[in-house]
Amino acid sequence: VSEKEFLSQIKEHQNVIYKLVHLYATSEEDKKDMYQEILFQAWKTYPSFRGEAKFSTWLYRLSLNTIFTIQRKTNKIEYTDTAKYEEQLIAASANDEKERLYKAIRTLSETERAIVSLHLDGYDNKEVSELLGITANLVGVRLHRAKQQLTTLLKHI
Amino acid sequence: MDFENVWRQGGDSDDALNKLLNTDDFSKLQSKLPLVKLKRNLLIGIIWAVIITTFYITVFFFVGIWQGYVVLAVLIIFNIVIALDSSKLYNNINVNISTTNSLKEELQKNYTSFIDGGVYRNG
Repeated sequence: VSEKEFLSQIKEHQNVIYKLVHLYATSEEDKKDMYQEILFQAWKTYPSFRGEAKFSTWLYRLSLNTIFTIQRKTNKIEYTDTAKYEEQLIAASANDEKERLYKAIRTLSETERAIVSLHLDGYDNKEVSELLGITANLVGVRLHRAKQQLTTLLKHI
Repeated sequence: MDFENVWRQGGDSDDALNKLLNTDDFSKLQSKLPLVKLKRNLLIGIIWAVIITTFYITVFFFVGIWQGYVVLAVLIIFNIVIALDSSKLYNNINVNISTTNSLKEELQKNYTSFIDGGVYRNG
């Protein structure tokens, strides 16, 4: 596998890595470690990618598995207090909608962040359930709950 | 706010990611997985256990008193058990992230490598 080919695929889909790391990293250092580990694992396992799934789906699966493995082993689980977070939202720039959306999603549980992220990128409940290993019904329930929470949180701005 | 539209706005990159993507050689990247560090530490522990046990065995033949034989025998057995246990754990820890397992399966795999003697049953 040529590095050029790998790099071209990764650059085309780097938004997947960026979005997920942005939702789970708790510090700049954490973010760099996650980027590096995802790229390291992607480079190592890329030869086994046979195109049976879309590259973006393959990268999503690898990134989620890597991020959760890092977090489990280091216990870096961020639980943002909602009330405290609302104050941060009010203070945020009104024009920076995307950053506010990221911050709002980061208040959700770890699994709900993945569900919302996949949903917003166009994956249906069945695809999300296969990636996460939970039932499609549960995905639907948690997505509904997450959307309600996000709507409540963001309408105050 | 329309979540979908906001989510799909461009600009999904930053300096840290771009710097890594412009690296000269991907094969030079190092793994930051805590599992890798754990595996390395286990290996160092096993090597030390072997060295110390070899020393005890050597001393064993020169002690000359029965109390010394008993103490050394206990230490040797203890070290061998620890080394065997550590090597079993070392072999069970898989530092490769799967691209076929679901997230739940991957976390189960990590869990069983520590808790269930490395016996991972898919599904």
